Amino acid sequence: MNRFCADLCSGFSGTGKSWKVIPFGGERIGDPLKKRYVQFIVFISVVLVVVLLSGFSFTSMWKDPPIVRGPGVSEVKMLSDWLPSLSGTKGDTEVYIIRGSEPGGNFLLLGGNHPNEPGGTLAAVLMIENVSSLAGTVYIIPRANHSAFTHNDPMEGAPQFFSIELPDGSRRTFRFGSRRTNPVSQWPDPTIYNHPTGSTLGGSEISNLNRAFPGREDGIITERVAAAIMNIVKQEKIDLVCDLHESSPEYPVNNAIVFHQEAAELAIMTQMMLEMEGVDIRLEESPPSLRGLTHREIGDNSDAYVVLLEVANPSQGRLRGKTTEELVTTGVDKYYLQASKDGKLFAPYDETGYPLELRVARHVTTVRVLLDSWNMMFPDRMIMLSDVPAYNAILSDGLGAFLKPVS
Amino acid sequence: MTVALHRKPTFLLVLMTFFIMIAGMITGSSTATVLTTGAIAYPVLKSLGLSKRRAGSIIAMSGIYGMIAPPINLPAMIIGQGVDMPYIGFTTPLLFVTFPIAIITTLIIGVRKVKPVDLDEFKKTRESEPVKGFAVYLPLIVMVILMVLENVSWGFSLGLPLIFMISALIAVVTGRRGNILKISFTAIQNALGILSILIGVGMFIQVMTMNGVRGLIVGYLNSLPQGALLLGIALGIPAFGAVSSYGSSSVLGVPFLLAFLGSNDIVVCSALSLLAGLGDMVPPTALAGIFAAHVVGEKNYFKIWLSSMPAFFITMIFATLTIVWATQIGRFVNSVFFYPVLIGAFAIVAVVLLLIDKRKESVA
Ligand SMILES: [Zn+2]
Repeated sequence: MNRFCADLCSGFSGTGKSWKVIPFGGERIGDPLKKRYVQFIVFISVVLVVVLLSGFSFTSMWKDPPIVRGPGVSEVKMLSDWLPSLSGTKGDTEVYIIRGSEPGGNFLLLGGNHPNEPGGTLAAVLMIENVSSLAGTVYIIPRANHSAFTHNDPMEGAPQFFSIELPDGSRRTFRFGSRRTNPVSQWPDPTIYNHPTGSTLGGSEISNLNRAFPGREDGIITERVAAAIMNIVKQEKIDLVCDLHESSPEYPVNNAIVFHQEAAELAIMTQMMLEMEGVDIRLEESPPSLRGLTHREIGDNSDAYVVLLEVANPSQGRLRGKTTEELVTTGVDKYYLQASKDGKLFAPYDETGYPLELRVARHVTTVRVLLDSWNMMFPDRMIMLSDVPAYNAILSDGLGAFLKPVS
Repeated sequence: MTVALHRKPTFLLVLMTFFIMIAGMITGSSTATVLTTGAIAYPVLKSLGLSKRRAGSIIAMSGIYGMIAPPINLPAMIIGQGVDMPYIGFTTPLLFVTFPIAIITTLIIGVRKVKPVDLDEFKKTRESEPVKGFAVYLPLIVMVILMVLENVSWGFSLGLPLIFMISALIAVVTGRRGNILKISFTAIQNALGILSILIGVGMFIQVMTMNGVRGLIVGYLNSLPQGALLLGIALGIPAFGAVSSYGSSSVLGVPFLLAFLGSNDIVVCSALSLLAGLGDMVPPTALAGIFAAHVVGEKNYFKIWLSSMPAFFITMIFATLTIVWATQIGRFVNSVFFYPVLIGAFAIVAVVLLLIDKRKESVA
């Protein structure tokens, strides 16, 4: 009957036995017609139920959890305001603008470039909900790859949501998204992704926003999101860009400032000042051959100074054990502990794990110190923020203390 | 070409191996290789006197070497992405880990079995086929051309599903006439088996990742001392490749590359990609083996799998040794001597093969 299927199954058993396949509309002699109809209806019903349930689960991530406008937010625009063709797509997302009482420099802060790195997103949300500007304008995009927030990476067993308790007992829920754009927005991936600069990447990287820069206005969604961000940088005369990420603890570029060569001095000064506050951070220069990343392409294609921040996140690494909401928020994992004892990690790691508040505190503090360094180097383009959550306060009071309740 | 080469069976056998590899080199897929150049090469391998299982195992293994050979090697790209290593400087290391081993394993499988081609018989079998000539290969050729275009050009992307559909529609016109509806039903029926395996395996990994078993395995392998780690790599990456060679590259390839950082990362990555490619011969998915069985018309794919085992293990050992001596190999493949040595070695092999063929001819 079905030679190929028989091949397949003989592969399993080695005996050459074939599977019984009941083709829809095909004939299988000897079976009473009625019995097959019952089988068929039962089977299709089960399939239908499974598909419906998965469908509901899949689309449950399509609604944006609210972000509360903080006292400093003067305006909320959309990415499509800088690239109209993004309007109505899953790539469109909010841009929070915090204008200073005094003129100054322009700062763009990106969170959620990789939505499976929640520390970056949360740090951006904390800034939106708390800080005000005394001088200069801050543009914050907390969900840079918005489409990637609407689904999970397949076969990674990641939770869809995680939540943080507020002092009043309520909870704020956030999504744990994917590294890549939702295939509903762009499909299929090519075998090879030829970046316009001529470098070659595996096909799936075409849906990775942090390989799509500088982007193309008439490209696919991910490229258009990158192009829209480039438009902000150019049209709003952004002086400084900071892109917030997290990385697996076994990855060498960890707890680090990755800087475009032009931002070298700024990065070094930031590292020194952080050191004085007791925050250890590594410096990594953006490799010229690694294309499509924010620190490389925004740096090369605009006048802005660009840095990217990494902090260790065990819920994203390959050595992690049970993948749960707790792992995302506490970062406690026994396999990472073992790997740390074996000296295989590039970040300090002990029984206390690597909790989300520590990761966010590192990011928020690094951004604050980055701006301090900026103001020292470029006093004519000051970016002065007030009410930036303090490192120790985030650690002792928790993230909930800096998140506004949602009514 | 065959006119001159039909009396040089061993030489022709190695040439056919290279020919099969071409599709893999440019598409980066062992499956596509087996189904295209593999299918085209099969009649020649058969006329050389190889049994279905031997021909099938040469096609399957060459498909894997082709997929790993430069310029396009997806497992290497995926492993490199995990450590932000650009896909640059891989040509010579990938040549090093594929072509010599392809020659050796092909000879192991086939050298004692091949005999000069009986041209008359070959022509007869070609004539007895229902559709003749170039047209029958047109869908495959179009498929390869579209896949290559997709790989080399900026912005041109039809996507594999559409490419396969276009090729299938061409086959409707160029091939033997048939009932399209019935063929489509059969095709879907045939695909269901492999689809259910892939979906089942995907669900399996999802659950294993969620409950921490994946971390247990990766963590355990990674905590082994150097010697045991090499063994863990040699067995672990192909075994996990049973699930998917790409998945294996990402889940195991990346931490293993990190474990060996500092010798010659590109050579280690190339060797790891070869091990990941071997995953395409590991059941239950064993895509290269299953499709090769399909191409040669062998009902029981397990037979092809068995006769590929020597080649499989030699490749595994070779890849592991490449990791051990990555620093030295790295120095060699990056030196000016590499291409002269490679070409010289090929020339010597060619002479030896022709001598073997001369002896075969005189015996015959
Ligand atoms: Zn990231």
